Amino acid sequence: MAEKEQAFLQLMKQHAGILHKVARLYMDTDADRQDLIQEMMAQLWRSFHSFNGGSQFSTWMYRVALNTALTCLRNNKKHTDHLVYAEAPEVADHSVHPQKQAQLDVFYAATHYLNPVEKALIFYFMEGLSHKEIGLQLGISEVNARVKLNRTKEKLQKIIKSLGYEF
Amino acid sequence: MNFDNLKSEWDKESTENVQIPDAIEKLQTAKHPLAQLKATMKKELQMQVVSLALFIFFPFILQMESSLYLIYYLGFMLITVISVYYLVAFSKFYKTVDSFDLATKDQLLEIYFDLRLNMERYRSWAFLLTPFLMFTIGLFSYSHLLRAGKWDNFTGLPVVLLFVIGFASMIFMIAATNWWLKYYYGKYVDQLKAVIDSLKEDN
Repeated sequence: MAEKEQAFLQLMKQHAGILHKVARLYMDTDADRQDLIQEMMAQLWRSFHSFNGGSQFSTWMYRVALNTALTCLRNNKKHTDHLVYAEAPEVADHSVHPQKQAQLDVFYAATHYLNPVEKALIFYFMEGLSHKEIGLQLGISEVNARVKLNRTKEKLQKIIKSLGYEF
Repeated sequence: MNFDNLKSEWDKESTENVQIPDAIEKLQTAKHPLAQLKATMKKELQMQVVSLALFIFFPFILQMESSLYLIYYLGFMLITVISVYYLVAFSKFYKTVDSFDLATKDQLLEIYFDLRLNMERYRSWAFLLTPFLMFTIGLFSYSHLLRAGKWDNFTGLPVVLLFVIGFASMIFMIAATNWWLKYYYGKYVDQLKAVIDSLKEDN
């Protein structure tokens, strides 16, 4: 058991980026992000017995992490699709790599105006999954995945532009 | 800014803020809405078992006529058998360990239908308890009227009043059950449904 536990924790360290990115996409505050990271790890551990190595660990982890985030719904109207762009969360001020860091911060700020499924689509797109793979992960057809992703990308571009940045 | 630049930054992003514990038991969870719903359900189940146990003593607490004990306990036995069926079903749902590794749409549908099924089970159980409550009120009233020697003259307005009280209690039970379900489960179930709907094919 201890061996399995250690193997699991090692995998979590290797794939910490998935936890970090999903948490940043789905939660607005640091405290909420930390809570979601804990929930995702707990859910991954509870589901770990069903991982049989048939697929890559990261592919399996995407599903469990995103399913946890998608069901972690809060009674917060800010998370719905009907948002006012003027209410965008503040973009953090980073002085080390100001321009590049700011770009990613703007991107994350803009994703907070997407609905939970649109966030999942953008996550998979950023991770480099094909339309077919996105469809399989979400349980929808490849065509549906492509149509939805294209619409989401357009929506995200509009949001970023409305925040005053070129895209 | 463009997606290619963003992707390159995305791949290089620091993950220093992710604290991986050195042991599983150090994970602090229970903030997930589903876990909170299950925790509420567990407390509620315990309360229901205690309430059901209290019904055993009702004839003594309400000082019911001993000749009515047999009728009361037959009714109680019936409601206990029904309740055991429902309580076992609720506890099975509570103890379910969900693997969250299905394709997202399938996973969400599974959780949604499990919750809806559980809500309907709860509603039907509460509705089944209502006649038993009416039956207890009826027996209690009969017992006290009999003891006071007023049963033979129990006609007219008092009978109407008793029926009105019984009917009002029934309406209250039904309304309270619906409110409880909506308050604890309704919002979350509606939100899940909205996410599932947004996965449907676009026209």
